[in-house]
Amino acid sequence: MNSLILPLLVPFLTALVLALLNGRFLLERVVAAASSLALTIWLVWLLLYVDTHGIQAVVIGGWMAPWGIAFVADRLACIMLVSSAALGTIVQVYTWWTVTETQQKYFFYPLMQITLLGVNWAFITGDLFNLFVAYEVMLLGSYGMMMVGASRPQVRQTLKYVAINSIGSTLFVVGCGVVYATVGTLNMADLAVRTAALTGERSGMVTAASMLLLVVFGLKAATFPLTYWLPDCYPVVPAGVIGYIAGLLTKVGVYSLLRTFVMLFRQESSAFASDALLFLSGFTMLLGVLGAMCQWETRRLLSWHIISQVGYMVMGIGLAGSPDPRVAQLAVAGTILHVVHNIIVKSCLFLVGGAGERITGNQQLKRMGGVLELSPGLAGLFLVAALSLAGMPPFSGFLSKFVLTLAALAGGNYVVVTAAILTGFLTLYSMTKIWLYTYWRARCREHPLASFRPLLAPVAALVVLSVLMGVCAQPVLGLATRAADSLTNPTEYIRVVLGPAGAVPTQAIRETGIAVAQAWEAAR
Amino acid sequence: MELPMAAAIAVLYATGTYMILRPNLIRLAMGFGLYSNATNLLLITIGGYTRTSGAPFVSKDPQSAVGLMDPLPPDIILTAIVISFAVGALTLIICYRVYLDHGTDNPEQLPTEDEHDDAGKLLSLKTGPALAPVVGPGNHPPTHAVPSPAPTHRHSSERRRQG
Repeated sequence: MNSLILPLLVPFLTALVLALLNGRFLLERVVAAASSLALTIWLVWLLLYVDTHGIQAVVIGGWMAPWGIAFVADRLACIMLVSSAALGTIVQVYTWWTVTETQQKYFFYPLMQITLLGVNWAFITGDLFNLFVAYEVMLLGSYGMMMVGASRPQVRQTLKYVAINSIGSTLFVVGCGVVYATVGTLNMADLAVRTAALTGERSGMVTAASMLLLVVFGLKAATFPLTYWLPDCYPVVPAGVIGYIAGLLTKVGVYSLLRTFVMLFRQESSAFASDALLFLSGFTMLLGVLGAMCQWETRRLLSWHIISQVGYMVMGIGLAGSPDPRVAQLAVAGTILHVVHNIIVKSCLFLVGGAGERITGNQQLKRMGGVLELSPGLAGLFLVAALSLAGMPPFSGFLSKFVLTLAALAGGNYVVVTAAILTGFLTLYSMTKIWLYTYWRARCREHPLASFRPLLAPVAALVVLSVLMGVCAQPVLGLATRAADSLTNPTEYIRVVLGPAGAVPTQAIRETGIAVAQAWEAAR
Repeated sequence: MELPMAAAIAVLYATGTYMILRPNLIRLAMGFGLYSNATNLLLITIGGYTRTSGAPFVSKDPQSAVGLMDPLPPDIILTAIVISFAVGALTLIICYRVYLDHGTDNPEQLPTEDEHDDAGKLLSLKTGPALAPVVGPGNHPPTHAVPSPAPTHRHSSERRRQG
């Protein structure tokens, strides 16, 4: 299925076109949003196609699978691709009113498309080193997006972000190298075959490499000991941009954890990794939510909440190491649901926060107030999104947290469940705090400071998605369970990527190699 | 060949870590350069490099692959070099920009909080070199090393003194 490179090709070509259109503000905005919308529609079709016809794969250049670079669209990758493209479209519409022309002149939309390219690439690639390249493309785009406009705090915090991610990239390459040295392949399907058979010393070596990758992905996802860059970096980014960055970039880290720790590293000593993940997840949840409780700025508060929500996802990934396959499947399904729920709701809250800032001209909770009177619509949207984040039925947060809690209880991990439920209550506390100070208090000004009404449309779209996900729980959970099934039991993935026999025609490759070598000799 | 390579990698990583931990932005950028070199050496070692190993696919005996280096690690290295070059260039630009903005290359002297006015609005978002472009046609940052005497910058430093 050659069209699998479209998620890369469309943002890339759009970025080039947008760079040429620089300065024609209106045209640029329309082209960027239209291209993302078209990609979203195609990806929804791909998701439905993959769900009915099974996993699709393409090997670039026609090289056979473990050598050539494979792009694989399984259900999980498709779900993530749809979420990222849909969020990209909605946020781009939101930025029509929030990104100034000055900021747009510094290639804001091309940078956003490049970030989208990197994110899509990370989701669809079937090769560990290719994942590294995708990460770098995504990070370079996001560096540019964070710095757009280049105010002093933006540049200063981006330096921090660049520095910590450079360390992450170094560790990623080292991790890839160690995996390659031990297992002898970087193709994900081939890795899944070979690691499952590993025992003894080599198994320990792969676990060591997986711990390196845990640091890398944990850094991107902002898990417990590696969280501190996030609440500093995110609040300085312009309001529309933060919705995209905060919603998506940490989730790419979570997706990579899911892909590697559930599907790839299934060697003998992998129980250590799931214990480590569970341990980290409890601390991530509590640290994030406690950090949020003492914040008095909307963006900073919501940034801390990203961390606590990532904790839930890491908990699901840790539970996936459970020996009971049904618990593992349930946990992975819950993680997938929580990732999608969080992409929608977290971005929604940041976009609502951006609109609130426009109304009150402020992002300090104590100086905001009376948004309920100034804009009842925005207050209603915030209420739904906040209750969804805290896990109230019937919204999407309830569904994902319910599935995760169920999996943890079935696996007997009572300590983590306690931390998760406690985190849910404390999340409700933080959301109540925002509600009380920003919305319910006496109004801080007579009229809204700037126009905000157009901003309600993209926010409402996200809220509708969240409600739909909660109300249509049965089909959504079914899709997530099927995605989890093909992840915990990757036989179909392996068969599609490596060919029907599961074995590679090594002899044919060897003969081709020898023929090439002979041709070389003859030429010399 | 593994032992001298391992020693070289260790020295490079140690030096890189030392450089990154120095309170100096240029050393930070150089430290990352050392990191990427050490990583590339590590990958060469993984590929089975010895003093006698041949380049991939061109051994003396075309029928065998014995004594050849694994071709994949050099491939990875090539990609990693290109990427670290791009990120290194970006890091240097950001370091220089931070130096222009704050007049110091010591990260410990950078402010952790930004100045807010009474309404709680970030001052540096409105004044200072905020709206000056990083790069743009015909609008390059000043080339001399001293913090630029651009009017916007002087204004912001005056404001800081008053505050």
